[in-house]
Amino acid sequence: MSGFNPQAVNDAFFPDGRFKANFLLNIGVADPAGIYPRAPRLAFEEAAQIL
Amino acid sequence: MSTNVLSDAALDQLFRQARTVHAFKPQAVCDDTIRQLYDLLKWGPTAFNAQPARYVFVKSAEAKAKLMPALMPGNVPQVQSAAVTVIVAHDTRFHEHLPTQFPGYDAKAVFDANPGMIEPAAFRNSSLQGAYLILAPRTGSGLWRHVGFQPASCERRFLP
Repeated sequence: MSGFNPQAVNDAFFPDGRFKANFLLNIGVADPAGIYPRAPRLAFEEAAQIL
Repeated sequence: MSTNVLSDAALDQLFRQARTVHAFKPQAVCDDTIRQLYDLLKWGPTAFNAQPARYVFVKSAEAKAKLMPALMPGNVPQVQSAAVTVIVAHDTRFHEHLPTQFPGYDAKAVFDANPGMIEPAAFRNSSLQGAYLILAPRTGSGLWRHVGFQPASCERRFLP
């Protein structure tokens, strides 16, 4: 997740300023109700090239 | 080291069928499992073996409460329901560990002499390490090794 205020996380968890939050990640036992429909992925030609 | 091609079932579990989860069952994740995940993800590559990521496994109600005010409102329910929310951060002085972590070459001196390299390297490589933390639970780590002697209050499983 990127939907957070990094300065607020840094102030709350890293008050000495040495560490800086990058992103958040949830871990747990999945509730299938919280899984969205599979999103598409870019085709190789859209995302990649072989030179 | 030998290289084996993983089975289709393993590839499905790691990539093709693995899904982002936005809601969680009310089951705890054992501290042992968190340590097992770290013991797996730590082997993922980083430049100069710098390992700049620092992880805060936010698990207790007290720590979750500290995190909540920093969240966008839309993310509050999933953080509330997740057993653990990890703050993936980076150490702005990660290079101080390089003499022990990359002993073959004085990489610490490179960063000391070029401080502008520190932040991009920390962000890039901690992002990579965060991705290793996404993949580690999908391997089923924590599922197999302690079956039979985990406290009932902890959950060994990540995948539905």
